[in-house]
Amino acid sequence: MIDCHYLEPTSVSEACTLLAEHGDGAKVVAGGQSMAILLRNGLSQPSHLISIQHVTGLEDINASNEGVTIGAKVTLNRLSGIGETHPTLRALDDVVSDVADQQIRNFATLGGAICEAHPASDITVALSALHATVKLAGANGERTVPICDFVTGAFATAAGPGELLTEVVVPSFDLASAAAAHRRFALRAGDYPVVGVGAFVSLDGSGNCEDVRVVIGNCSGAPAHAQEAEARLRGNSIVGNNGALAEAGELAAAHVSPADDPMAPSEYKIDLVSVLTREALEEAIARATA
Amino acid sequence: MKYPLSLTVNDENYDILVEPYHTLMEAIRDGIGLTGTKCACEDGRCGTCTVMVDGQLVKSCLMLGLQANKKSVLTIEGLGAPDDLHPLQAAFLEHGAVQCGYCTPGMLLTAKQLLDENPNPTEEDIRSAFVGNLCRCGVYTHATEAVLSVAGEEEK
Repeated sequence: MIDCHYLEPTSVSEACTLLAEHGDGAKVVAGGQSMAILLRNGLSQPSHLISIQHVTGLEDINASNEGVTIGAKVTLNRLSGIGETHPTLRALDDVVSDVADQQIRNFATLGGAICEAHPASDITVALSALHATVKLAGANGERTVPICDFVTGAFATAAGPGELLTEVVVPSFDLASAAAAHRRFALRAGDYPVVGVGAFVSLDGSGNCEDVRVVIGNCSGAPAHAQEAEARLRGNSIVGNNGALAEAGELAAAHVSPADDPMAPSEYKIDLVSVLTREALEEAIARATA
Repeated sequence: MKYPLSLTVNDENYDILVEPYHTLMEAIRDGIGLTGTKCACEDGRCGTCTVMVDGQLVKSCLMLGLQANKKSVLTIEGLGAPDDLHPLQAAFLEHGAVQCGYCTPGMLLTAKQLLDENPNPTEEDIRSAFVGNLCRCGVYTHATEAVLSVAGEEEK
């Protein structure tokens, strides 16, 4: 088995220093809910595990005019029901309770779920639909990256050596005219979805689509943006326009070419993209007009 | 490289040495020798290794041992004793909620956490709580009835 060291920094700067010092051999452990499996299967063979368990200041949820900031170590269990206190996070709330089971949600962290960059992650899809950004701390200060640029592929992120994801920011939007929603289909409770779709819509004064975002999970390495579907809707009447939403679903389905996987063949996933895109858009519009 | 791990398990203190990649399950079973915590999938799916760490339910195959350093762990051995069964253990026996028994330790701890948080769960609450505990004998219905019976007892 591997020779591995275990380090327990107590601050973000100390963690970043250790990460930089040990380079590619260093891996961050937050809740450990994915890392333990990667270690056991030999898929990750770090020389240094950097546990951020005792790093302080990463467990807060704060709202400001700009948006809601969620610390990287906030557990998924704490996010269950978050849509009630922070209504702009309803699409995130849609997904957290479906992640695995309570045992895992008790310790799995938001930052860990993002950094794992699992291609089927509902969390990354929902946060992408919400235009969320992540804040990365490093030896040279902080930088902010849109989450859709942060997750670069299956199990791959844009985090550089010595960088630690410290918080997630979900920007504010006008709840009277905009909303997001997420729809997923899984074979069993607690499983990763076969397909997940996140949608965000904002409406202008006359009820036309001002902005829209359709994000598809588990059909490619990183969440996919269905730009053709978005273009079909942007600027057009969408409230109650079932034809337009169905067309957007078809365009989203045409955007992806997923591989067969043990859960479903490619064509089944493509059909799901069409249906779930329409449903996520319908739900987002219903919330925006409620 | 091995590191010292200090655990309080079922109110007893243990000091052992573990590698950083050793899971809490390995620490409990191999390091301390408490084998009531079962090992099956080692992939976070089945829930047979469920224990409580500082009162929170966790699959011990998904937590590194060192993450639980200086924490308090409850395993099935601490829930009750053969001559002094926990009410949930007695109810599982009475309702035939045990067949091969491999999932039982995990299911009992899950049931305990549920009742700790919600003394009067509905059948739906119980079924939701068991999402992370697989039973291939299929005792879910009996286990759900057993938990309901204990919830009812505490209400009286």
